[in-house]
Amino acid sequence: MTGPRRIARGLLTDAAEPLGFRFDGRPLQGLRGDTLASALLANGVRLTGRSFKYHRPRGIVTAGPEEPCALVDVIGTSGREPNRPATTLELHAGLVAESQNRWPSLRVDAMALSGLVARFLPAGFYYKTFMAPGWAWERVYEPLIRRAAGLGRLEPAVGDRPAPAETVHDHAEVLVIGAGVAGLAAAHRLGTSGARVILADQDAAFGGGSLLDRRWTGWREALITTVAALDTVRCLPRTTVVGAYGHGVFGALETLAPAETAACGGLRERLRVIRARRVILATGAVERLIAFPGNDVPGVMLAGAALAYLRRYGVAVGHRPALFLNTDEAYETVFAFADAGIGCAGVIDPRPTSLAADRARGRGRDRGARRRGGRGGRRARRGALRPDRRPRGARSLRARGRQPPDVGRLFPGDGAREPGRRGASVAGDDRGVHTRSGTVDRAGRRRRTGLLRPGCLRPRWRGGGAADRHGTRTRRRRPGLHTGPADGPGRDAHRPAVGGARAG
Amino acid sequence: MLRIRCPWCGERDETEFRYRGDASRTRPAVDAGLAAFSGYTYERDNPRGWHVEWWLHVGSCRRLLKVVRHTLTHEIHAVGSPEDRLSLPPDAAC
Repeated sequence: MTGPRRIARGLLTDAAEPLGFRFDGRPLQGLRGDTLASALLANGVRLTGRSFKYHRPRGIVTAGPEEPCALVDVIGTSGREPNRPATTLELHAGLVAESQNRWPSLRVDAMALSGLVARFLPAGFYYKTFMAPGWAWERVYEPLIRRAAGLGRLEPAVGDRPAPAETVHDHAEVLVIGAGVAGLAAAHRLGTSGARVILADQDAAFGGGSLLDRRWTGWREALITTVAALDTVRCLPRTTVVGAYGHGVFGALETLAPAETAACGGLRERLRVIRARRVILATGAVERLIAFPGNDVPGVMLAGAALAYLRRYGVAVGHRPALFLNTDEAYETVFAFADAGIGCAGVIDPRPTSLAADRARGRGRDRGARRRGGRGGRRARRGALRPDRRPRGARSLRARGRQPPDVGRLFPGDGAREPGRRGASVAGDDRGVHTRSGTVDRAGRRRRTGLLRPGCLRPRWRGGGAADRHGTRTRRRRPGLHTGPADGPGRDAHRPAVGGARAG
Repeated sequence: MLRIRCPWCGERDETEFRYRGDASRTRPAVDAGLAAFSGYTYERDNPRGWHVEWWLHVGSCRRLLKVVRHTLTHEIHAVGSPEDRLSLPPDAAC
């Protein structure tokens, strides 16, 4: 086991192969199969960077390419590469990564002081304030402000290789985007029937949502072996399809595996232009962060990400996490933590009824895990749930704190409080809110949005034009686009999108 | 990116071709007058829907093709040689 937070065997990590890496100069150890994010979490590192302007502390929020906060600079043989999401960065021996936008160090940041006065700074503060004397803007103010803002650092010359990326062209009869359960099954069926297939997935490991559940392991490994052995199927891991253009042309960005980068003299990325007759979208869906004050403090994480870190990498992201969730699916995280012997400080579910909540209560797994876990008692006393200062009945959620480990206290202020206890309501009250008092490491809400619904890619044209007057059909399916089901057990990409890309 | 099926070369990328404009225009008679020639030279329709147009296959056979393309969806209904009279799809009214 590498790292204090590694509590189990992950589905992706290889415990026999520890890898040494450096984060901000500190030597740490991870496992083969880790991402930088999972290795950092395993080592108990929660603070990974500072925000763009006010230098607020930032941690790891997701377990995938949707990561908004944990961006790092990677210093390799080919130079410094800024703004790589730690969640997609494959760990390799000798990886050197640095946090961004902090000075003099990540933990003690001089500019973080601005966070204390942030509430007194109106919009456009420095355009209005730093005006006089005129000469000072260029010499004093602007250099200071420029130093404060921004994330990664660019270096004049990146690498000794003239081009760190190359472009290649690929052809296929069917392009399958996403190698989860649906994508693998589709590629297998098509490949065995003789069609030339390209199977692309942004992850280093195929499997998608099936990598969250050990019960799928046998099925997945057998299918991956079969598909890889097919002559008709080309497997492209680490390849993100970034665009669908007309007439079946797709752009895909492949990030080379660390070993391949070394073999190719520092080549890092490969842009693939894929021409395919048909495409199957089996992309699954991403979870969205809930908006509440303080949702950016380190320690707040998506429930699905916590599940992924536990199942894929065997990393427990918190000692006594609290969960805010609004779908039954998210209870998988509760059960996973319980199985791993980690008690949840609280499970807050704003819905009046929930089958999964009944199951969680009925089986008493939550309570049992709490007994078994036992850890975090001290923390529990320190950071008891407190009511938010809001009128009774208002529903709100806040996390507070600036630095670990004081971050992530959760303030449920939904009015359903048990009298006499501060801010905590008991499981099974009339509003269905079941919360227990205790500290909160993180809060997550699970909300999956269907980013790619069937018909999403159909262009929608608004307003009447010449063609309408002439009676031309203006809604026309783009040729060759087909959507498959979302991948993974129990995932559903057909839910209405919530504030996402406008679906047609 | 368009993929155009050249009758002589097969399906190729748009980058091999050069667009040569509306193929439905006809040159006015020699004595048609200045206004007619001005219109023929400078005025272009910008239709929304099916459009018959010229494409020159510069990157390969260097022949001129007639293509029926939908200007919204880029769907290509037919490709033929210059002398072909290509039919529009049934839903096209123009």
